[in-house]
Amino acid sequence: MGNKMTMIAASVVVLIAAAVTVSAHHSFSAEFDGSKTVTLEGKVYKMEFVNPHSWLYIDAVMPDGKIERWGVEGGSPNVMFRLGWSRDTLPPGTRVKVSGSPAKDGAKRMNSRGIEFPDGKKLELGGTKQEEK
Amino acid sequence: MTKRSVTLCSVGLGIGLMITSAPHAVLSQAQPQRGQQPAANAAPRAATPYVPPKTPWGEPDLQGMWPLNHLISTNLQRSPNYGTRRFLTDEEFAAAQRSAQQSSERFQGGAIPTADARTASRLTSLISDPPDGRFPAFTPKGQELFEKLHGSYRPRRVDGRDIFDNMDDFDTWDRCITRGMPVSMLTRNYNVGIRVMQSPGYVVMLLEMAHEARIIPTDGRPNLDPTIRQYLGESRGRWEGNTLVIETLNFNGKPAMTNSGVPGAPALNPASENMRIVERLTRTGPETVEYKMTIEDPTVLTSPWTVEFPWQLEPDYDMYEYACHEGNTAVRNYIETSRFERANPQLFPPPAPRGGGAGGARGGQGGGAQGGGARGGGQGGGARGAGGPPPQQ
Amino acid sequence: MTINLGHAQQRAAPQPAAAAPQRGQQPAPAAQRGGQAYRIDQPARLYNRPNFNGIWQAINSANWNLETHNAEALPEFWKLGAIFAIPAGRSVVREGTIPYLPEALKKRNENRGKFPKEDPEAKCYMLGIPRATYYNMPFQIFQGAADADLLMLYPFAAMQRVIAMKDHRDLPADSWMGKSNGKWEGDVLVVTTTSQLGDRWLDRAGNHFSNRLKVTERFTLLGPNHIRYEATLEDPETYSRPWTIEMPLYRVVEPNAQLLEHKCVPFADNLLYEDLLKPKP
Repeated sequence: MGNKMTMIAASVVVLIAAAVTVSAHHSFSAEFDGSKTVTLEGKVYKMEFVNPHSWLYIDAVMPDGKIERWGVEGGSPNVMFRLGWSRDTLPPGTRVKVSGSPAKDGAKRMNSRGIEFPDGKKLELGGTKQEEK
Repeated sequence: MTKRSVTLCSVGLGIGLMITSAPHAVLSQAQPQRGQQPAANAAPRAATPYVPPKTPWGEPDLQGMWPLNHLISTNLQRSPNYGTRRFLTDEEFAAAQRSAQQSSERFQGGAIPTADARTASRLTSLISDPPDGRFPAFTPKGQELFEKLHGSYRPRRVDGRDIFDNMDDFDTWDRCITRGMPVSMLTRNYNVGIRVMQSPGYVVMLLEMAHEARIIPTDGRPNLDPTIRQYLGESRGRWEGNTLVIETLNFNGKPAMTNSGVPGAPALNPASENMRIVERLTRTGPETVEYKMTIEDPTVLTSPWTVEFPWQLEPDYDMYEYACHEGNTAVRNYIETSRFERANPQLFPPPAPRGGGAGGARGGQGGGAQGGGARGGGQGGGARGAGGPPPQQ
Repeated sequence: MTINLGHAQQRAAPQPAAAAPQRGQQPAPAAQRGGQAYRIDQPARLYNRPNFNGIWQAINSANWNLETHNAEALPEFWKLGAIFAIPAGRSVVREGTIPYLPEALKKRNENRGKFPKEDPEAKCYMLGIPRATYYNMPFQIFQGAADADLLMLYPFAAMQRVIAMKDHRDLPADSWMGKSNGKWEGDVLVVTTTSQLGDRWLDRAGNHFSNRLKVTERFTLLGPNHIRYEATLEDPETYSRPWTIEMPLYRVVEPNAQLLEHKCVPFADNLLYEDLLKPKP
């Protein structure tokens, strides 16, 4: 059983489903502006494993130095769980760099196209996938 | 790891079906813990009748985890170039396997995976009837209902713009009510877990999306009062030898009959209260069930249509809760965004008109440009938003 | 043109499932097969386990308030008159009242003032365990082979839970119904549920729990048509000690009793999107 998934280090932008509605529960472009790209660097505030889309909240450092909390829309947690993700996978404080399409109406929300780990850390998924209890 | 045997069965129609697994995806080490064997011998063998195990109370045992992952790369509708051919050639199958593997890598190899791994099947389409594997034509009433039905897969458009303004602009899946029938029994990109449980007098199918349960009494009780209408209808099952035959009526006509979440399906087609669905399930081996579903809706369609495909047992598939409504930000976000766009037309000029019609007398359209359901190729919403010059910052 | 809608008269004659009598089990009386008999004599045991198959319902006002409560009007619903008032009910809490920690008690009282808007029930959110049990709708238990998982289905918001009898792994993250791990202790079905999302209500009176809640339920057949249902709640973030609710569950005995859908999401639209839909007052 594959428990661990190692991420390629920071120099490579890792793609997820590029701007697709294929995996989306619904239509991407109704919410997000596919013609624009936003890139944010900051720390994970929390990872919410909710359906239909998980949300990664990050405290991003803006160009002027202020911190803004952004929500990054991800896929269904069920898919992640089957690959070994759990509540401990992306702990608060993890430094990340995210790029994606921003919300059309200016809300601090985006649909992610990729996540990097700027300090070269690898994303290790939880030891055993689930613990025996 | 579970061995994924090459399975083959001869159904009464003389169709042999073969499902094999793609080799391991290279990028992601975290393959789901299913055995993945390359295709073995492709030649069909004569079927000796398989005797399924029985439950302790004497019914054929269909219990287990039967996700439809192995069909994610198989379109609902057949590309016209295949004609009436139901199976891929060896070359076509090899190409389909490669494509499926690439899709798996793309959707699973990223930082946050967004779709389940998929393999290829030898089917040219899930639809087996009509013989061309395409969705049947609408009746005039069906066409009328089609034009009134909207949702994120086929939005209401005014002056070239997608409009989301009230609940009727969303379909039952956008609203996280249900995928409805028959869609709930068809594949999609992810979370197509189906678990079958049985107890004396009942078969129950648990559907991962979205935490729905289909209760199928097999105790011979009469049909439900036709006045009662339900999103998933009401099912009654009976055993014909080793085949479970399920008839479902009492539909409320609200869910779409198809949506482009199912790869290769029409974007959003209507159903009516007069829909009737008959399913046949026969266990054909320790890890396979032959599944056949016929959908008729004389109000909407000029003929019934049938899908036929094998189910594949995956005991290690973990099905998780898919609590959709509780986290559904789409309804609010779409309405607010749509109103914002219309209030600020200078920032969001309407996109260039799409090529191709939005349907027509023929009920079927591929998923493609409608912004959903495109399999493998990763086309999608991005392209639709790019009509005009980027707005000024 | 005749449209074949496949109604009863056109279906092939159904073959009733012939359940071979098991050792220790009474064969079902002939009158029950496809007939109109009340379902009052289900086999007591199934493969040497007590037989919980059937449709069950709690008959009390625990969903209004687990603790003792008086009949009371809800002033903002005066247009519904006597249709929508709180009925009186005795506490189902063995200890009488819920042993809240001081901060949690404050929160309970704040919650109470926010009914119904903040009640997850009003939003058609899944209610979790144990509230699904005493919600005022029938639910169904499915039980098969001796050591097989059981299934419980609740129509409200299409809740479901598998009672996992072998796979006792925890969930990778919290969910609305959590993970229910079951085992047999003699003739008692003991179910432990953890990993439920917190900050939700146990009833309409604002009683609540956190995601550290652990529920231990005990299902005991009292006879063919009654279950003794007990649920012990432990949550060190909310309660100063464990506490237990208890109530009978009654079998729904009508002929051909069945669950009906209650997919309530559309009923919550105006509540959830009032500002967008601007419903008429």
